Amino acid sequence: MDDETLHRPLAERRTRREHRQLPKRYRDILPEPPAALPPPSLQVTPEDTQTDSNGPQSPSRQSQAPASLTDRKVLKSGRNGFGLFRQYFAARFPDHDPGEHITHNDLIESSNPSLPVDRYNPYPNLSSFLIGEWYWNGGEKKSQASFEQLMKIVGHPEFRPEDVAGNNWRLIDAQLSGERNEGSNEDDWEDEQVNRPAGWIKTPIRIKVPFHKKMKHPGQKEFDAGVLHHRKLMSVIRERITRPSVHPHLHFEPYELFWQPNVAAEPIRVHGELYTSEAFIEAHNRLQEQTPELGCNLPRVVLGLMFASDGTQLTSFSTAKLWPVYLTIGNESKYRRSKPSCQAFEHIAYLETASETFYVEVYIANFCWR
Amino acid sequence: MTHCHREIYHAQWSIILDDEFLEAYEHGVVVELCDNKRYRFYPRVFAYSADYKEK
Repeated sequence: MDDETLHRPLAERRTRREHRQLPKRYRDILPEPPAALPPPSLQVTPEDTQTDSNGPQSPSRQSQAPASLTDRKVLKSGRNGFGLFRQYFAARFPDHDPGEHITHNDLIESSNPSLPVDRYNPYPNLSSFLIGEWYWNGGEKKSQASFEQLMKIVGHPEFRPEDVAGNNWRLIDAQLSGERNEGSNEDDWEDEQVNRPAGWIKTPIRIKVPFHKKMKHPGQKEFDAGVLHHRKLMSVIRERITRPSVHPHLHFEPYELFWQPNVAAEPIRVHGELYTSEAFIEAHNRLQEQTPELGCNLPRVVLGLMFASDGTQLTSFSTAKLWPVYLTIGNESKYRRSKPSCQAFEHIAYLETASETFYVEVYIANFCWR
Repeated sequence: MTHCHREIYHAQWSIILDDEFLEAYEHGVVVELCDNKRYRFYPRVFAYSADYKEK
């Protein structure tokens, strides 16, 4: 204990006891982000990620790292509280580390999310919300009940006509349909297709149907099999990865995740994310070994696309069906992808099935024997 | 009719996986992200989860 400490009053000397922990069995283990990567060298400009790094070397980066691929080596990050560490095979650690951006809130499943400030979003205020709610949920036809409902809204003590006056209803509805993710009615799906911001296009589906040589018109014949509603795949991808809310969470370089509870233990591979999977690492390595596009030295990144499709019955008593195709990008953590609030699944298309009219057409065209 | 089902399915996927996508698949696509850095992205399909068509 040095002099300074001795001169301080007793109570102050005891401050460190504030950090006393509960007995282990009472402690709740909080999740923890991966250990931070060594800081990228200061002399590397953002655009010029392929050049030499002459900055101070971290212990895990033994030599200076020129751009060429032959210099790729095994790089290990530090271990975090759980003994997890990342192992890259690259010339240097990535500049863009999604681990940096993980906040405590990203790691815990918050059971009671705080109410957003604009709780009526996309409606600007309560009055607009009430009117909008009446319009959408009040049923298709005007009725006595819905009229009374409307009167109740107008007579609501907090209803203010000036709040409703200047609204851009079309924009609000577009936001409503675009941002809806939970609790939507089945028959709103159709609206969603129409109102979603840009990107939905229709392309006719044409297929060839072969006919037996004993039929009236043997050989192949082309048929229209309906119209496919879909979005441009690349536009969807581009929109997704350039979204400011998504960007910090994208992993551009795959790594292997290992668990090493203590220094003496043998590290054990941990599997979980697409960007820590063997397939992704393989695709990444193959891409890095490929000859680059002429005159291009931008970093090359694998985008892990994952498609999903599943037919759904829309109503219990009719044949209304949808067969949507979704896309999600595996460069994002599965913990984010599975949160509805992150809206990580993009609608790509609504697949068509052969309609009855299609069969009739095919039948008429040829199903009579010679 | 199974033939038609299959053909329609494949025809639709060939519409979704359009030329723009194939071009990006082969040569990559340069996108500038919000950190003002440019990357050349190569889309790769890792998974497609679907089930047999229910009746």
